[in-house]
Amino acid sequence: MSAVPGFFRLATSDLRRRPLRTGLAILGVALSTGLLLGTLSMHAGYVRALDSTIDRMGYQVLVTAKGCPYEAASLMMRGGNTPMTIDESTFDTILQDADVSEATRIFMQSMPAGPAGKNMVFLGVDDRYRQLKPWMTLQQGQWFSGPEAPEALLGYNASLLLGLKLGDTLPVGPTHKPLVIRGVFDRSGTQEDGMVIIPLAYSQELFDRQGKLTGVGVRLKSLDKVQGFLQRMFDLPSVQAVTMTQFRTTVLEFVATSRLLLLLSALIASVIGGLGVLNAMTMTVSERVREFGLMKAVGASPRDLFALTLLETGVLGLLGGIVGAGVTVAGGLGIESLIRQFVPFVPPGAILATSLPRILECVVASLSLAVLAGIYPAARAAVVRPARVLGRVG
Amino acid sequence: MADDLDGRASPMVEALALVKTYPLSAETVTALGGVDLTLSAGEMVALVGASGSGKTTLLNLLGCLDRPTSGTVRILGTEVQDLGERELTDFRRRRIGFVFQEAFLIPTLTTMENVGLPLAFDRSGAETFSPGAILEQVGLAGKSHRYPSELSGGERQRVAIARALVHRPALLLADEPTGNLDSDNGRKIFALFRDLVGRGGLAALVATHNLELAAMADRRLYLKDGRISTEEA
Repeated sequence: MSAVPGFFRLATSDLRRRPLRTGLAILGVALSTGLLLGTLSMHAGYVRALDSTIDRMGYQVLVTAKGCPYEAASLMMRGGNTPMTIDESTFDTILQDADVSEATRIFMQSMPAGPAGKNMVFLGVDDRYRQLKPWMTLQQGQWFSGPEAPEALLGYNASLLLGLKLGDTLPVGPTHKPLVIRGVFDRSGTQEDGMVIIPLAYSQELFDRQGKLTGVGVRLKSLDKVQGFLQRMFDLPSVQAVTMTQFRTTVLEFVATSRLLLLLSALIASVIGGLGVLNAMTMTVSERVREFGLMKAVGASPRDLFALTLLETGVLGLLGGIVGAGVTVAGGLGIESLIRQFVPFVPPGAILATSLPRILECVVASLSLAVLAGIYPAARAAVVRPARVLGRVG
Repeated sequence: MADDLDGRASPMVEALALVKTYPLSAETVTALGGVDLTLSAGEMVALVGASGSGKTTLLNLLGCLDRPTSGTVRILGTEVQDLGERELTDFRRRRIGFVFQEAFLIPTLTTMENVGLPLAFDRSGAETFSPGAILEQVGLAGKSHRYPSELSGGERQRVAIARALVHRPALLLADEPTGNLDSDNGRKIFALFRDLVGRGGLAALVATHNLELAAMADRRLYLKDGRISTEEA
């Protein structure tokens, strides 16, 4: 230890002297930093995950029953029960459209399945599904033996969740024979990872909706043709079409609103954190007024005391920023699971995209906030008059 | 002691017609009503007076912690009342050492660091004592890594004295330095002042209301109602 205390040691000596006050001030800054980093990271991650999901849908237009097209699209993306259906004959009409390159029939429902009775999403598909999604590859087994075979292909996560492997059987209620596990997909990073994929005709029969579809996924020959195709779908009775681009725009508009609210919360938290630092430092300066007077008496200039106090608040801001960013990064999975519980549509994949530059931005923001909050107490420390605080006027 | 052109010894510290008044509500309180004094190098002077007599005010003016309402304070030939804030801070940092009634040690710094505190603000590169050496002079060499809470009252005041001397000041000002100590420790502190002033060639003005301790100084100045005399009232 040096015989002459350095500026940093002088600045931080009081922080160690009052651990509770220091801890609370750091906590305030940490909360605002964590919220800011979480909000910024979530937005970037959400957009990335949404784009990836849409890219991996394999089609540009989704045709569903009339209703809210965006609700239908989000249901198709995250999986779940779709009460409205369209007639299977619509698929033939779509296939005959001159602008359609490829299309696939989709039937999706959910029901409890497996030994633990977990609610699983069942996706009924035809052979065209493989042409639209060539990246869905099987790590084990093979495609269905026939269009009505009581067989299932498990998504990667579904296989782990159900604890089933090739050749095992999956009970699907008293009226049907258990499904034989015919294959397990590689991890795809899409919603299908958690689904049980079965032959289309069998799925319609299983859920007693023969001749009905949840939707039709359509890939066009050219994106220039999309407006004309949408118009033709609009003319069909009982169906509607939504492009994935429209869906993306709508979801992102909703997310932007949420992001604004979260940023507002982060701003309020920052103001509260800053006020916490201001309060802690103002109290500190008031309590240490004689110490500052002594420092002036032994040669400290007003600028020295201003710098010392500002350095102390800077340390609070920096520690708060590091703690807040650290907790956000470390607790990323917990935060994601919380978001998934409360946000209506969250695409699969990591939605908290923290990066070093973003972390540094947030830590610098918390440092700046603390320094800003420290200006007033630092100015008070700088103008302490030793003659007034060290001795009696006698 | 400095010599002028005539070969006469000139005082290290000179105060002429020093007046200090304070506004208090509608009236003005006169703390010092025209004080003249001189201090020479190697001289220890006791400033004796009751509480409220103006001792602290006088020490603050001589120590550049406050400015006089009127009058002159000349230290080593510099009229300090005319200096700007920055020059005054520099002057205080280089030339003056303070000891107060309380030690005012920083509790989170070690004894050694407390002694070195004035050097933390000194960027002049001027010659100073090392904190270790000055601690040895005040008899605390073995306690350099202790914290103030681990020292007795007398030891804390010795640390404060070491802190006041570490930057080799020309003038040492002490305001009731034994006020919080028992009589035995008080005598030891005064003896230490006596010894350090004799060895260091600095001028010291030590305020006290204890006549027994004041008798240990070279000279005694008596302050009453803001005016100074050389005889006890």
